[in-house]
Amino acid sequence: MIRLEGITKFYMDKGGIGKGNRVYALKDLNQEFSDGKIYAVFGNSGCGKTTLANVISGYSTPDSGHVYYDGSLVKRENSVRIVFQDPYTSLNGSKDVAWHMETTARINGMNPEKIWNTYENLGFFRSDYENRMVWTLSGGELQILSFTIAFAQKPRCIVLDEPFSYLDTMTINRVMNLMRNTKDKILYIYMDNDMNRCGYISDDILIMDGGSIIEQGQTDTVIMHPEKEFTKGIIRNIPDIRKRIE
Amino acid sequence: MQKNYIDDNAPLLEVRNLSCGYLNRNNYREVANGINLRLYRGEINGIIGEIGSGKTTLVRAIEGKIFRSSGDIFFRGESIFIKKNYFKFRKKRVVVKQDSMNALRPRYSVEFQIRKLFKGGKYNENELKRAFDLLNLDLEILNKLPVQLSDGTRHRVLIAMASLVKPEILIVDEPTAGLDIMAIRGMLKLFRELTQTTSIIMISSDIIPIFQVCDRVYVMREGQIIEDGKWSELLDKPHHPYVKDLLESMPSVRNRKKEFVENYNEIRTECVYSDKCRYIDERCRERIPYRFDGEHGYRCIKYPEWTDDSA
Repeated sequence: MIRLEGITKFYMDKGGIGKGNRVYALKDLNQEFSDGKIYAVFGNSGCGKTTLANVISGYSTPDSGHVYYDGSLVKRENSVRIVFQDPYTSLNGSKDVAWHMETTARINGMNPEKIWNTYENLGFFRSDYENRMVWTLSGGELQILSFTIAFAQKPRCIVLDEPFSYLDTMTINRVMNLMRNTKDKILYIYMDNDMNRCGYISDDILIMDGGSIIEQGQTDTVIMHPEKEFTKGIIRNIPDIRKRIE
Repeated sequence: MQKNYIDDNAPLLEVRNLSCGYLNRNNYREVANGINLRLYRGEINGIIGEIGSGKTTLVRAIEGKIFRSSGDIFFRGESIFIKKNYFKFRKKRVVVKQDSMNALRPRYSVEFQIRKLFKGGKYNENELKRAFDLLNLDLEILNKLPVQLSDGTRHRVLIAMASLVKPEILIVDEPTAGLDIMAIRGMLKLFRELTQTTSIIMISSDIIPIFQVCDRVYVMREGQIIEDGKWSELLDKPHHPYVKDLLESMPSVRNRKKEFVENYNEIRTECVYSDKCRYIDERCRERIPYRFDGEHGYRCIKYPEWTDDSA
């Protein structure tokens, strides 16, 4: 369980007209994420999703407010893992895939075979990828690799920051089935800007705009009966495969 | 206006039976084999496929940058692998690649790089405003450096630059990754407007934007094209069971209660979808020819039969 209390985060504007002003990325957030559920956070680009992911996972400290992990302020060793947005900079390009598996296993004191098993369940075979250097992989293969490393350490919570932007439909389905089957052990917080994927995977949905959460609830009720104007516009404009653009 | 000596019914770009791959000093790894593709004037063609299925390799082959073992590519009826024709072809095509940081110079402003495209230094400001408006970009970006921009913004700047040049063939690789809905819709509108002067090949792993804008769609898996046809025919009547599964398993708000489960079979055969197909048969082990049903091509040996016993 993760609880946010009065989180505020701002950045300083370093140049241009508004030099020296504060730009607020998060404004006074209060939210509770309870175990056994998949949460989706929806928002357009620039609304503060990445900042929220960094604050939850402890990679940046908030300017005011606290994050509680299972009721305590201390982040334990295995309490939270993050999958970053940019797959090109989150892995070591000059090493091969096997090095990443062995290092993850050595740090956590586990068997590398278990990580390879997770990788093969997602449709990527050890014989094909063992000796590939990381810089030769495509963007989607890198995203799967960083998801595998985060998942195989069995944390209490995984924060996914737009993890499927370079992936194809069949692989997304495999990952989403894996997430559904393990959601009573791991709490997932999933950020995306595609309403189709958010609505498909999540139990609860939070909708962000301008640094604050403007609407939240169970996914069925939010999709069927949206309250705010912003949410109504989003639901009306969900991309459909049969709507041609002329 | 340049005069065309070739009639408009002939395809602008034709890929005929192409096999290509990566050649090292010791070994040759073939990635794509037996690929047929036709691009007509003023059309948008889309290629979809899983990751690692050889989409980006196909782009590099059409650029003429990697080794081919057999087959040929024709631009206006002339093979581009002849040196004289290749330099003619190179001036007519523009490729927008997947990683945008390597395409821009990091420490020069965006406006400087746009001016450098037209060597005199003048560009059409109305067209730039129109493109920036459709792509949901601020005109303030012109004074910024590429290192200050985010990944999606940099990609959109590249597409706006490509639309100013107006090449005859534009190839875009994963244009929609990491963008929000309004930017994607504006980009597709821009592509539609560009078709008066250019023909576009669009490659993506995201299905919805491909079907919203393309005239003809190709489906790739494990280095082969397994089906191609008009977008409406592919949606209504897929000839290959893989395409049917692909369209059904698409994550969307409407089918959120449904859970899609693949069938795992032990038999390994020639058909590329044989390990997960549910209509598997002994005939699938043989080499499967590429067959035609009118204008609709596909690579499945059991086509009319599997549609009858589907649930």
